[in-house]
Amino acid sequence: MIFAGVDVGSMTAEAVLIDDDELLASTVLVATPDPVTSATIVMERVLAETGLRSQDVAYCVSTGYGRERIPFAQHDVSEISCHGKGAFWADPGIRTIIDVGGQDCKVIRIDSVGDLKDFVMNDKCAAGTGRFLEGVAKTMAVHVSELGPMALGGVDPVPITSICTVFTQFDVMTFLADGRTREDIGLGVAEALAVRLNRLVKRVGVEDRLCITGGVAKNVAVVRATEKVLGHDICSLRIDPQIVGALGAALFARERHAKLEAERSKAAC
Amino acid sequence: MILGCDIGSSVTKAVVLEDRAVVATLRVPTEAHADKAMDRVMEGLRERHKIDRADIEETVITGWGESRVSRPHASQSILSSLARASQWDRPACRAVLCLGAQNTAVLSINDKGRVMEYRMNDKCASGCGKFLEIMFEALAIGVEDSAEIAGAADKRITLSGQCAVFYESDVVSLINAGESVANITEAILEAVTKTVTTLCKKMKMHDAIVVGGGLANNRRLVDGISGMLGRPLHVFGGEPDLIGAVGAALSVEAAR
Repeated sequence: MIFAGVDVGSMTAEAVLIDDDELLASTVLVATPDPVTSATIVMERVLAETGLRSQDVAYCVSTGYGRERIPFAQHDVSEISCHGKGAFWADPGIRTIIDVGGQDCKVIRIDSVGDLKDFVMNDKCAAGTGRFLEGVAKTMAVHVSELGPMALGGVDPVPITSICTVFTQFDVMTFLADGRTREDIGLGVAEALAVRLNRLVKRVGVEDRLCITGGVAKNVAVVRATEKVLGHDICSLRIDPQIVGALGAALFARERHAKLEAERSKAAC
Repeated sequence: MILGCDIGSSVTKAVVLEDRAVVATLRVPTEAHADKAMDRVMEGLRERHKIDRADIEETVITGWGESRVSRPHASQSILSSLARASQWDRPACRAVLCLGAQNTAVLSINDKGRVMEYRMNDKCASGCGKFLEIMFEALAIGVEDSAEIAGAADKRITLSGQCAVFYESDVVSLINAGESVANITEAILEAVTKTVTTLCKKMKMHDAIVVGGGLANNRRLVDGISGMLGRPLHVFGGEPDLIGAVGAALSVEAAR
């Protein structure tokens, strides 16, 4: 049987298909301003990739922004639970998840069976999120995916005093005008982001193993800087860190479907 | 002639004073480079005002670029520049509110123009000019047209939080939900009004209050802040964005 999870974020949308055992397919899409449109398109794409049709999906769970409005999802689950679920599936040793998405970052603690223990998130500002990195990349006229590898070449990181997305963009402009290299700027930005994540992690504590999910997990300089600041190793997951939320949603879909089936057969007896 | 330059994060403002009176004004983009901005100022003064470097006895720089210009110059902190200019404009002034591109500053000054206390947004860009620029870019309107556009609002929408990034996506959602540009514009201006007023209330401000900075051109904002504070606000001179540059130039006479 096929189960689907769809995760609509502020910047990207992801869809995952699983069967009873394995991850079948996943798709990442740049989100449109309307979550329903994003969810619909990303689901169509992932189905097209596998040659499946929407009626082949036994159950679908949505998560993320506007998750309760997705018409083809039978159920919705918070992105916090989904990230916990997805990361635990990828590595059952994971106890702490730092999820850095387009507009938010959260730290999620899970227990030995993958259930949510505690979490904390930034709700006041977008400092230290994907949008923060996008702003920096835009100012440097590079693609956000180039920032990480670029930053690894930095030797003398620039000091980023304020982590406000707006201020940092201006700081970056100033550093460029002062003749600082893009490598040093990228490294300074990665370190500033790591300090910010560390502050968030400190609020709920950290238990090994630790992983980073969300788009920002693809920035290798941020991951390394975070390891250094935290003093903990960060595991790299065997799946794309950006699809963890959608995968969690698909796993919830499978669980919920099984539960409903069990209830149905019990009622039939 | 004294040249006062306020090299801001977005625009460099230049004012030439002769006997404490403004004889020339100029605005050039800063583009994160203080020296280049100064070159543009000198070029503009020469071309548009026939003022040469030799005509200028002294140059005083303030604002973001204060310590970033390599050519020899005098410099003044932005706070003392704001204080000095405000009392030049209105001798009874005891408090200044400056609404800049990246900074919102509020200061109380004594009768001699000395800064007694101040507050500034140092961690977050909420409520400053750049914040509005980002919002209005999403709405595809100009900051300078926003007050008029907001005047046509017929419904009250409340935006919450403070982060520019979150606001921007809220604005995009509102646009997609079919909300009118006027109503969204009014909601944004109201949010900035609240943010600025909150900063003002962190400090005791005695009358008279002078308001300067580029956003002081926005009547909707100034009236809104004034209303929320329950106090009159006097917009600096005719061109409030020149407040820092005027103050910098005035410092030369004060030093003599």
